Amino acid sequence: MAPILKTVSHVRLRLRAQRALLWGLTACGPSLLLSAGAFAAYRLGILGDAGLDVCTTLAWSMVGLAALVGAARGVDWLEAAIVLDEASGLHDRLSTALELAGAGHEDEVALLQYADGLRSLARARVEAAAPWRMPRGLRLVLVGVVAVALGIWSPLPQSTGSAGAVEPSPLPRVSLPPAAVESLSPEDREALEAQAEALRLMAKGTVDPNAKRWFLDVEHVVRAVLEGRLSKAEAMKQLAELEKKQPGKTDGDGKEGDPNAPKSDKPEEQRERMLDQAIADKLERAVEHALKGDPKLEKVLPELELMKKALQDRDLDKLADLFDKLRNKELTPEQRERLAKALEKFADKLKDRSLADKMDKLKRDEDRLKKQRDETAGGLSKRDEDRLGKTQRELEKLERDHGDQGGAQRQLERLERESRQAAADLQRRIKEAHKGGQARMDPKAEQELRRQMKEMMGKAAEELRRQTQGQQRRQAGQMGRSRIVDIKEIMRRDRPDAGRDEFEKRAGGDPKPGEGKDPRKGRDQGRFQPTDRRGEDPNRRWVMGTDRGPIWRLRMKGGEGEGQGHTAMEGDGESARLKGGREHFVEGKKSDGPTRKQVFQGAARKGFARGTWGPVYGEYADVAEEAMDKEHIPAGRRTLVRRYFELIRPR
Amino acid sequence: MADRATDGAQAMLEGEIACIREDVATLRAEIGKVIVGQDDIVEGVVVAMFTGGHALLEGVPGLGKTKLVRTLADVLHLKFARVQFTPDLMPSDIVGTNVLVDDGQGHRTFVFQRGPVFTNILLADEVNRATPKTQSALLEAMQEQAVTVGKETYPLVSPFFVLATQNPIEMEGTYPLPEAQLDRFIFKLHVGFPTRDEMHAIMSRTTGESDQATQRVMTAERLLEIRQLARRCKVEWAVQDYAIRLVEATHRDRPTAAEPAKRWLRIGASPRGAQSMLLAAKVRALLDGRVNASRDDVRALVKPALRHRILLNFEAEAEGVTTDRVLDELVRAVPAS
Repeated sequence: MAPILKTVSHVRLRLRAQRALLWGLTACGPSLLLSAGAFAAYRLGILGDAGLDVCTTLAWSMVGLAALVGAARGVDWLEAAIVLDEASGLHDRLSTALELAGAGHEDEVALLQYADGLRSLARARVEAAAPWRMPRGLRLVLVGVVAVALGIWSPLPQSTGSAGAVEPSPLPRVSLPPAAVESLSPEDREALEAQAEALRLMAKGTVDPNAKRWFLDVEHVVRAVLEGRLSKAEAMKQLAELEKKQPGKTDGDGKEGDPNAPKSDKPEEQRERMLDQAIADKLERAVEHALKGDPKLEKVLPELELMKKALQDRDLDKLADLFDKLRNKELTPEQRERLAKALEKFADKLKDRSLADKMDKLKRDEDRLKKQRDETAGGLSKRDEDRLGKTQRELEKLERDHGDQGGAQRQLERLERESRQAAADLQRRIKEAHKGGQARMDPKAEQELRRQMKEMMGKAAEELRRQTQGQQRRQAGQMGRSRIVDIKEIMRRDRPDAGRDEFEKRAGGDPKPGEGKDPRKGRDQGRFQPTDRRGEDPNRRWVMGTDRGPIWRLRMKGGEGEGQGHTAMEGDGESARLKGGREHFVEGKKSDGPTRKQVFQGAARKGFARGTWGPVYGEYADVAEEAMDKEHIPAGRRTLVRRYFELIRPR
Repeated sequence: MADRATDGAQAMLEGEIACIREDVATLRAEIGKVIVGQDDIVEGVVVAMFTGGHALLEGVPGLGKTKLVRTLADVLHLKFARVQFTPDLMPSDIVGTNVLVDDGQGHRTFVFQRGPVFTNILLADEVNRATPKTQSALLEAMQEQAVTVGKETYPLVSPFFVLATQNPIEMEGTYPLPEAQLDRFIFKLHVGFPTRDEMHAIMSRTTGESDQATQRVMTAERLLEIRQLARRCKVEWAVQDYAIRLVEATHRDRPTAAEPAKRWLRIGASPRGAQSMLLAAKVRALLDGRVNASRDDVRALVKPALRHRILLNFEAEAEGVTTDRVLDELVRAVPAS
């Protein structure tokens, strides 16, 4: 039986080795986790060198120990013999022989079986019985080892979501307890992440380096809060600092970033938007006008066609590039002649002051009638009142339709002047050349002309770029303000203390005796008591609303005595604004309006409304922003809307 | 001295096994003179015969079932009887009956007239054409090797071997065999249609002037010797355990039931199934020149030994699942060790 036992022992050895490998690999999982945890703790300073050594030694000892246990677990002789029989096709000769030998059978059948077993040993295939196979989890474990190794040796990310080469400002690292991270609800976390992503996109899409840097700074603050590296209180301070430096915020001299500069109000923003719109409109009309008269012009100067397209897309930056291109282009005499005509027309259109004159006239009329109304004891006559109303309505309409034409005109004046001068020079030189019968222009004159052309075009390009940057800065400032407000709102909502602090600050202030008729400002110092939305428990200072977040309401005790004087808002008679107003009764025409069928039929005949993407986008985005400013929309939803518009923004 | 004696016995045993293999090879060669192909069926019948069990051959008419049994009887030096089962066949037509006999001196006595069951090889042809009452007349004979008529029990001659043939039960005018009777067959063998080459050979042999003549190559004593020697073969505990686990796996209500059994079986195999497999495995090993039954033997015998011992449920029948398919999946589901 010895030869049989020897052969089977080889199989046992191989099976043991494989088992050891398998057990070792199985232990690799927990060991990897332990190692990774230990290194993470070490990197965070929780664990020292000795602790790290202990942990890693322990982790990898586990692997060795598991392998040893796997190897030590005996493989049954019969089990190994069966495996060998199966693999070698020996019809259980060896296992039966071993079993009979183990049971001590000595009859002739058993002896014959032993002999048969010995004879069949020649056909036994040990390698086939216990082949070296790669354990299933080996690849996984190797991937895990590599991942953990990469995790251990890679540097910790200092910032995320940076765009371009602009690095965010360094922030003080504040170590926070884990609670700071946990206090963010999933919705708030999601909303903040969306804000950070939107800021990253805005930074990416902004040309102005200051605006780009500002967006990245705000994003960095938000990410720091999300990662728990910055407390929310600290973040609020940082945001307040950044808010002072936001792009597009200018003082009277146009200097940016002045913390003492007054916050721009909405009419100012609207005025600037209208200005941008008016300039773009004006330029578009001017180029269109310049191109209209000469169909060949576009073929001779393809840049003009591109200019037209750039204006349709409201891409002033591209327009500036085209001016630069045109400036450096070698022009043929024919091109020069045509360009001169085009520039003249362009300048004519820019010079068109009919609209501005009309608006000036209307303003003068309005001022005159108002002055007359204030000075005359009985007010204006009915005719003059009608005229004033009509003037005001017409002026409003013009401003609404065409923006601040005067402001736009001022910005375009330089461009017009330069264009006209260049066109005149160009035509003069051409005429001189024709008069003299010269086939070519005098080289000196040609050089001079080229210089002038270059200068003019350069100025035009510069003006347009300045215009673009200013526009972008204003837009960025507007968007940035909205972002900051949203982020603050999210953080404040998540931090009940902050809301209460602010509330108490606003509510408490410096209590003074009441001075008006308003019972809320009586002599007895008014005291604010925030209650929950139902006001059921007067002792509760604040309670989270059950459905829409915390709702604060004021409960105040009335003063004991009467106040003195009155507030400006509570005038006795009509307010100044209502004084000159008149009531108008308009009777509408009752109708159900067109049916859906009629709408579609009409559209089929006339065609659906169409518009260029750029202007349409701008209008829609503005309307959305205005709606969000006016309506009470949760910050999370606002983020979604803004993100949507950010994603569909023409680039 | 003792070692030398043992070595001598071992050598004798080895020689005996070699002789058996030679005898069986001769037997199969003689059968092969008449029966073309059907090697599995021939092997199954031979194994069943050496095991001491009875075999049921199932197949459509004309596939040579009866011919095989007749040939087997011819090549074995054994008594042979054939009963053609018909719907009007009575039990007494099989086992025999008491008849009134006049001894010529005016005395009349009942004398037991032995039926065809008193033979070595009984061919129960188209066994499923008889009524269940007649079929059950074979029950005692097959299991107890004896028949009881009236108050008398008559032992059958040894060896007694029933080879029954039946048409598929779906055919007209058949009575399915009762489960109890089916269990008494050690094997149920499916006789398949011959291949084209085999068909050519059959045509050549059967349409000529005369049939091939066979020789008697084995006596009843020799058959019994082989049967005894087969029982001495060794079965490793793990092999026995494998056979038991296979049978257990057919019982859907047991925790050891295999998934195919849970899905498709209504009734599992009886312990007699495991007995049949192990006994037949020993014979198979002996015919292979071994003295140990192996898992391979058990595996090869699962279908003939268990296919008539399991009952399919409605779902299996509706899906057209056969017992052979269930057993194939069962073998795959039950680990060999």
